[in-house]
Amino acid sequence: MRHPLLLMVLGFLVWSGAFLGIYFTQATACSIATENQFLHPSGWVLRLVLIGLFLASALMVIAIYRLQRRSSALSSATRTSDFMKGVTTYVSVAALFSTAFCFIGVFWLTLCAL
Amino acid sequence: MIEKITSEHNPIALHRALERIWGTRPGWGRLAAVNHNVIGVRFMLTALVFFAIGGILAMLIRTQLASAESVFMDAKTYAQVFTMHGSIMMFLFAIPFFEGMAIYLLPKLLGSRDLAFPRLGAYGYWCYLFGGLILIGALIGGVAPDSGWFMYTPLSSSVYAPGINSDVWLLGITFVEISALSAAVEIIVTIMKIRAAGMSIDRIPIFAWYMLVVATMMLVGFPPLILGSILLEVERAFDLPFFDPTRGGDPLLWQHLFWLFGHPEVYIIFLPAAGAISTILPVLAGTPLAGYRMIVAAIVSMAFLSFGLWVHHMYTVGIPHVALSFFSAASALVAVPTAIQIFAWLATIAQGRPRFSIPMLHIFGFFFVFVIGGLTGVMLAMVPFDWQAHDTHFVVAHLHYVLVGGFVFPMLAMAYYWVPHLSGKQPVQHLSHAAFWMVFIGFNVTFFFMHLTGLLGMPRRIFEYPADFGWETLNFISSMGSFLMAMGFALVALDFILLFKFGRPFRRNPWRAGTLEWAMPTPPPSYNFASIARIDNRADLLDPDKIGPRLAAGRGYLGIPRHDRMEVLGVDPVSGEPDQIVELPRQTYLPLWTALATGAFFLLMLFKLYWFIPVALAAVIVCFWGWTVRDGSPIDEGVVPIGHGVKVPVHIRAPVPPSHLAMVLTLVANATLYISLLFGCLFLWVSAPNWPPKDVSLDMPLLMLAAVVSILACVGNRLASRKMTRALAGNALAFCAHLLSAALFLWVALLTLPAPSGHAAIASLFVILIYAALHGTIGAIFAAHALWRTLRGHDEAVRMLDLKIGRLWHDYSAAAGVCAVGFCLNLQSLITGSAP
Repeated sequence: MRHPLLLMVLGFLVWSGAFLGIYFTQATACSIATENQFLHPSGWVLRLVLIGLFLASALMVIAIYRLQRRSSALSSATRTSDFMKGVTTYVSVAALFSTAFCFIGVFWLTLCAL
Repeated sequence: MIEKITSEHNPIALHRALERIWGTRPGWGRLAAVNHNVIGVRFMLTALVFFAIGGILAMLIRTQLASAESVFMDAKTYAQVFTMHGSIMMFLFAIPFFEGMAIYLLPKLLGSRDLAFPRLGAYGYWCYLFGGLILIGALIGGVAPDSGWFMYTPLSSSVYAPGINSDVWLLGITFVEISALSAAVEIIVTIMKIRAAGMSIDRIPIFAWYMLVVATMMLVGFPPLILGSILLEVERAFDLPFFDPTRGGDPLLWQHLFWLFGHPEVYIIFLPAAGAISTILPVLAGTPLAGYRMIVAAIVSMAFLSFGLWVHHMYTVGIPHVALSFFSAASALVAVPTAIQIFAWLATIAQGRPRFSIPMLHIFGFFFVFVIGGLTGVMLAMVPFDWQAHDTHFVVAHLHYVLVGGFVFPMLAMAYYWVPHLSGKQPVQHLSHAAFWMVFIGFNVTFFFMHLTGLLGMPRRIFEYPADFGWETLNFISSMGSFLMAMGFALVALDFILLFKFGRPFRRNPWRAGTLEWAMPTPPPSYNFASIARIDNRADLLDPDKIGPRLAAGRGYLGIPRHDRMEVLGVDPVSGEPDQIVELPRQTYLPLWTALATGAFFLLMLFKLYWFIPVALAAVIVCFWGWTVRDGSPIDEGVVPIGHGVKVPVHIRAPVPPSHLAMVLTLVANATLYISLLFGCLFLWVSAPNWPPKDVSLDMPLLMLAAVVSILACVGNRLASRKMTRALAGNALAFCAHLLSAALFLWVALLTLPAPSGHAAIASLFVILIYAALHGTIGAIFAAHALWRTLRGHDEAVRMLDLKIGRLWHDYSAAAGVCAVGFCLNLQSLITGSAP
């Protein structure tokens, strides 16, 4: 992942994966919950799984941010590199905030009730 | 040497030589046009004709709703009218107009002579025109689509829509979307590779950043719609029950696939317009754009966020609270990058000394209307409010404020700003102010009152309403406003006719802009620039008045026409340093023939003449093969001089030629469609009623053999690439392996599966196997082409581009085959595991 444009969007790619992953896990678990008491909506296992996915994705975005700061593609002393570093930082911060804001509901909202 | 020749070149002789190479021939030769000036203008003019048709339909809608219990139209006609109004405005006007604008403007802003793939642009235009004509033909014939522009199932399924109407939409729109996808590939590759020398990624014009983001969104956003259209057409034509809940299907699958496209679509329409504002506004304010970096970051973030809120169109279908919160949060969040742009524009105005010209007036119109639309959008993003306002005229008002505010006012601003470039004349502007105020007041009168009728409970899409509901006065005011707006648009049209007829000629750069499109004569010559510039500043902070004459005298790069070739400069995407000469194909009728063959395929599908479809498909393949036969330079040189002592290879020998990147992007779109298909099938397993099916028997050994054989095709390609002595054997192996794997997948799908019409699970497996077989077949065509080249003695050692492109396809189809087999295995085990 050395191309600066791909590096720039890496945080949001994780956000997209987290979005699909968390939504798919929640929907699938709720669908089969009636047959499996382990995943029952009133139980805590599904909530723990979703919280785990949420925290893992937030940590991944942070790890990507640190990777970007160290990347040689963004750290050379050129005008282009400086521009890309600036934009990449803004985008990664936006990705981190979006991850926290979009999925925070997994802590308290009802999981399967319509 | 080159420098000496270019500096002594006669500009008039250079102009004549370039015009002879790049110009479009008169008469029938116009049908062979591939030049981006011609194609861009054609796109925009055709889109405006469709806009006029869509506008007339809107007038019919408002006439019908002006009074209670109106008998102007019956329900059936009204359904066709409102469906066609929405479909035309979204698919035949908004997207194609900005495609045309980008096709016309991008090469000029980037300092190039043309786009990366002129024939693809021409093919896209013909597909758009023919697809649009199918829809308009159906409207005239009284068989237009009538299930709403979103074609919800089961209303659009064959049970409730047995006629040809829905097929017209599904096939016509898919045909049109070919142009959107081809434009997306072309735009991305052009921005990445075809620029002026020295235009590094931080120097590209802001409009190019916007279009780069938009084209990427189109690449990922359109495939789910195309997939949904294919699945629904397959259900209607062959009874495969993807959306039929009685046989394991689910109507909600359509809604997911449609809105996965449909919501990003709003931003796909808005962002090019915003890009135009970011280009025009600093010029009119006389100061550089404030917050350039923040704007780039905002539009990149917006692109991602816009894909995470498709379900906000589906809040009322029954979704658990926690899932609603994901989409509601994303819907609210997307307002932040939008607001960043609005504040950056306001800061630009505040920093500069704005000129209150006509384009600026339309930009203020945009601010007013779009901000209101954005605010009602935030209201609708909140689940409790949306539950109240869902499917009412409040939503109609909101979407028109967003789309007209976000696209039509900026479109008028850019028209007044860039039509002088296109026509070589400046407006006289006697009617421009009156036209603006009529459109602005008419629009607000029409749609502001729709918020109120919506809040009073008036549902969308009803063709009549009772007199005692209290909606009549507000509807009457809305209708009057719409007629005022229509007169305003007529006045705008008249204003432009007067401009073309009586406009004042001007020398160069009437707005004192800093972008490269003004560094050329106006109207522009077919080749844009007689030579290619080297730039040393951001592309919106240049001095076109100084650069223009130098380029016209041939003092830039590629200032000497060589062997009558159409040459543009290819650059490194990040540094902007020249790394190749891209030799473009000359004018040809092939795009027209290919589009006609493609159109024949869609028409045969529409009229259910399935036995003739292989003939149309063969014609499409032969036409596309014709593109490659005529491609490539007959002169095999190493590196060639481009001027100023710089030498670079021709694209066919370059490490990363544009066509290689184009293939990668095509596969990204293809993979998006495939992933949507796999997720769609999983969605049915998770949520559709009447699962599991009684019998899912798959011939797994045969399927595994098919996957292994498809991997052999990759081995064959690599064999051919590594040693020239093994080229024949390697390509032959790839060809045979693809054919065999396709045959095996087809065998399992057609002969061993239970009837796919019995259950959505079987239909899903059937479609996935057909997808794998189709990729094997196309892979065989790629391998056959490579084999043909080897037999003709093509020097593969230096011209490996075709093999490299083929390798991408071989690898993708092998991966698709392996995934298909893995998915079939998993779905079978899931079904078996959940069977009672």
